[in-house]
Amino acid sequence: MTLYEKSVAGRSAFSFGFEEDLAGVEERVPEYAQAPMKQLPQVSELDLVRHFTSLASKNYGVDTGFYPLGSCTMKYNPKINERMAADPRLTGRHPLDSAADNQGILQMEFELKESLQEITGMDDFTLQPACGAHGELTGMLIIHAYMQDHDPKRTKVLIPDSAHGTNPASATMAGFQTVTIPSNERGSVDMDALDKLMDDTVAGIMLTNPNTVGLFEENSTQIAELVHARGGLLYYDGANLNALMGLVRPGDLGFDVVHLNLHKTFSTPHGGGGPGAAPVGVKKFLADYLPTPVVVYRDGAYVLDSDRPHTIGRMSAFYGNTAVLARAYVYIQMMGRDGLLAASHAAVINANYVKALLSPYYPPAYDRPVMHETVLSAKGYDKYGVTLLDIAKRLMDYGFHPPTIYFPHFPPYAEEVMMVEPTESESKETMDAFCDALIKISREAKENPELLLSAPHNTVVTRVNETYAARHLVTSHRDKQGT
Amino acid sequence: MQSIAKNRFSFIPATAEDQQAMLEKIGLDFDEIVGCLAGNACVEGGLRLPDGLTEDQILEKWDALMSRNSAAKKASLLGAGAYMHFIPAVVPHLASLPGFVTAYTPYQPEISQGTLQGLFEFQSFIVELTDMELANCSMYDGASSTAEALLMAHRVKQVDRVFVAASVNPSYLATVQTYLRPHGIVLETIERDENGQVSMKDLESKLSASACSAVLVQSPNYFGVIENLGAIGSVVHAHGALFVESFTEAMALGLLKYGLGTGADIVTGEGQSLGLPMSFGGPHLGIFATRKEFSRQFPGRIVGESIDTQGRTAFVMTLRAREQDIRREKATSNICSNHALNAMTAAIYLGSVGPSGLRALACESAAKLDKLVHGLEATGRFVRVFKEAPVFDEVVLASSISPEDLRSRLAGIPVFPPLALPGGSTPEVAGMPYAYLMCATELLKDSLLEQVVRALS
Amino acid sequence: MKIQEDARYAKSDEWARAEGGVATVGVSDYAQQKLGDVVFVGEISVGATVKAGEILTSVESVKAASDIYSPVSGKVVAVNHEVIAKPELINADPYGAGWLAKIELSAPEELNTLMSAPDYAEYRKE
Repeated sequence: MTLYEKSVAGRSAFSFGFEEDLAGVEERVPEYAQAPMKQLPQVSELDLVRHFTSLASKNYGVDTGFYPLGSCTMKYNPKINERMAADPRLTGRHPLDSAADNQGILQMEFELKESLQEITGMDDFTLQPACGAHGELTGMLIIHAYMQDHDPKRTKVLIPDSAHGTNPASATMAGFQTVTIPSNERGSVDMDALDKLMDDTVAGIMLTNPNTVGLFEENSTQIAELVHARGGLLYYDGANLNALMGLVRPGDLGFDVVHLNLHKTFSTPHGGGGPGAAPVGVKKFLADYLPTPVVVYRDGAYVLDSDRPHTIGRMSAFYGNTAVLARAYVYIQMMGRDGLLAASHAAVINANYVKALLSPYYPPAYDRPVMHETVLSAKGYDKYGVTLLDIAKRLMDYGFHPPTIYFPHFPPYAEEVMMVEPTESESKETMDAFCDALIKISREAKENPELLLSAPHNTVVTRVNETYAARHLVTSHRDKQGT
Repeated sequence: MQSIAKNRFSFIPATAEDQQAMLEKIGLDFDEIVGCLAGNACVEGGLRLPDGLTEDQILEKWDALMSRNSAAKKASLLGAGAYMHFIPAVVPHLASLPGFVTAYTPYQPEISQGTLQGLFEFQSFIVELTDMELANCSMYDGASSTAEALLMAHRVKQVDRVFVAASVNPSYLATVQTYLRPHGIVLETIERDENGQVSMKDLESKLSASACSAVLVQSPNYFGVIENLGAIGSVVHAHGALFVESFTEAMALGLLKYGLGTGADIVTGEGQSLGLPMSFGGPHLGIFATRKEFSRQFPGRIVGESIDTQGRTAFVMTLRAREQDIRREKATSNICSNHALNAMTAAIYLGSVGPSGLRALACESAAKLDKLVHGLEATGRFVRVFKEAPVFDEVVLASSISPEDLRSRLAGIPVFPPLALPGGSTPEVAGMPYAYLMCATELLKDSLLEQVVRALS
Repeated sequence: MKIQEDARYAKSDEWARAEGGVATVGVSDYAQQKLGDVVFVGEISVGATVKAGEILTSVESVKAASDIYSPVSGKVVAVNHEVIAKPELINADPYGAGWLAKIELSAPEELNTLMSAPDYAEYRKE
């Protein structure tokens, strides 16, 4: 039941001491702007508490159990972060209040920038972008503006076939045409194809490294040399940075622009779909293009610098998701140099461990060690009449969140692939239990496929009909009333 | 490459023995696993970062940092896109439930009904507040959402020009410019009239002179003035363009008319006022609502009601074929993660205040501004710049008090001082060389309001 | 996979069936199976001129969005409004009730460049 369906006229969860003549205000609103009272539900505070507590209990989260969603880095969200992010000395600050009155926040942001610069090997950062795709757009707008100034015929961007959909979508929004580069038989960028495609109409290349198959681009250095030699720039999608902290830095590999997903690598919670934060780092020659304002330290104080003559402008109304930045700041401070390295180290071992346990049942496409995640195939199971979707749904009955499924989909992958990313947060016992479940399901597929086809059985709802939702579009209470 | 397996990181459970056992199962040592990194600029000697802090140490460091901010405030005369409102205790309590906080995007609906239903309820409330047909389950913030609204209008109409009211929040305008620039879409402004509202004359003449994809108007506008959206909408539609209504102060949704009743094709804006703290600029909440005829064109995610295999009501993300993971470079937007948890928070807030609470809060904010303006005008040192203009909870006041003087007068009072507008932003008033964008909300209790007026007398 | 004997087929899995200078067009049974449950068919304008190989409209399932290319050139003289209201007709009856548009042929000889039913069956053999 929705809150509307629980509404009883006359109930309220609200307690506030009003001091003014409210009827007087309504009369002063010009007639053209007058609206009747908006129809919101009326519930008591306890009704409200029970309603949303019940909803929260219908969700699976990292705090519930293993969430091996590939490319999403669902690591543990330390609770201390939440305490800082909810500190009224941060939450209560108005963004247009003077910098002098907010030195603590600005110092935190500046120190975060410095840490990210060190972790990635970049020279400057903006903290403004709100989420990964927003960071990609920011970075690609920077490259677009740079090319407009230096070589405007470069209107294309190269994107590997293994890339997330956000890459081509972001490049397009930034005004580029996208060209797909195929992967080679080892799952890396095909160097011959790159050599052919990288001409003087190409502004650059967007790479996720390790890529979405969990493989490090072994030719990173050569790719950077080739692209730079032909006048292009390199964009680093930081979705998978969790594999590399303290091992390799994108800046050292030759990348000119990077974005980081603080809600992945730096432990800020995902919130059921955001908010995150995606700082964008650049090499010095692009620092003037960053969106403004940028936090800098000048003459003994932290200030917001808007003097960037080539700036792309603004990506949002203020300076970024400060409360999310605060969480990442705390995480980096607590992990420190050794902790970040240990995280990447453990993330890599965990992914290879899961791969080793599951390979006999769900073979990987490439016989190579992986970095922080592994892509496994469920291809042979169609002969029992089950699909990967059925396997994923059955995992829920065992108490696990399924991995990312049906992605990536480029040769030699068939469509039946799952991407497993355990992260460093998980213990050996948890991964053993997860792999046991997948192995049991593999047996069930042969012996009792119906168990999979009708899964999940233990969830609050059984399989949800996506086709029905699309054909009978109901996206609000008003639609429900209309049906 | 150094091998780190010291068991002293509380967020990494693996012991050295665990990792050894796992490596044996893998059949490789760590350096062999990451052999592919060789020759690719490996970090030598570790990152130049300090040692990690323990929980008590970071608390102490954090405390030292936050004590460098100035003292806490009880109310704000500063608005301009972020607003200080009362947040009931139940709102952050429920929004912090780990089931909401630690989940990912609800790709697996069977174990994500909490997020999905909560977002469905958010969409329902936004449809109601904006009087539109379809609301997505959030954008990043009002500025980026407004920019996406214009990109959508351009997709629909394909004319490389949009008109934007000069009275739109300047940060929103800057964001819009950033988003439109690479597409060669021309952005022209519509002037305001002497009353601070969109000049109908300029609107008519510009629309008659050139075709455009959309007209963007903010109400209440940057100067706090309520626009006659219905009148503008009729003119815009007569010229075949889409009408985009924007707002920065969502509290106005509780009182004012938007949407279908004023001819809007898109209503978009900032939802921070709905139970979210200002948090020095974010995370806030982009609101985006439109008409059903554009159900294949809008950006962002949306939740639909469906059924499960047993015929029970269940929720699921729908209209997915617009999105980047399916349509890649042809997607309606690149947006992936959005501000779902903030949408959930707004839904909880709206459930808490209810219909009469929201309207009363809107009225109280407007009444507080009215009282403040009267008090300040009575001092003889402030006067309204747009005298006849209808306003909500923000207004432009000209003053004889300089920004430095004003700040020092307010120094001991727990309010954020108002925004000093740059010279030339608004019409000049004789003897009053300074202009302020002044905001009041329900938090400006009478005792505080009187202190402010006294300090500025 | 069902094949309609009297239709001609494009490599992109659309079919055309000509009668007196007007071709009825739609998508093949193979295409509808690949798409899965079709949930949306884009508008097609009567009177519009289309060229063979150009986008006629688009269809969506819950997991994919596909452009539909016109197999022939000419003027759209009729549109199947029923399929736009009930996209599931494409899944249920791709060669019958699931037709998309009728096109007055401007170059009837183009039909010869399309595949015959047996050729198409061979082309899409599993």
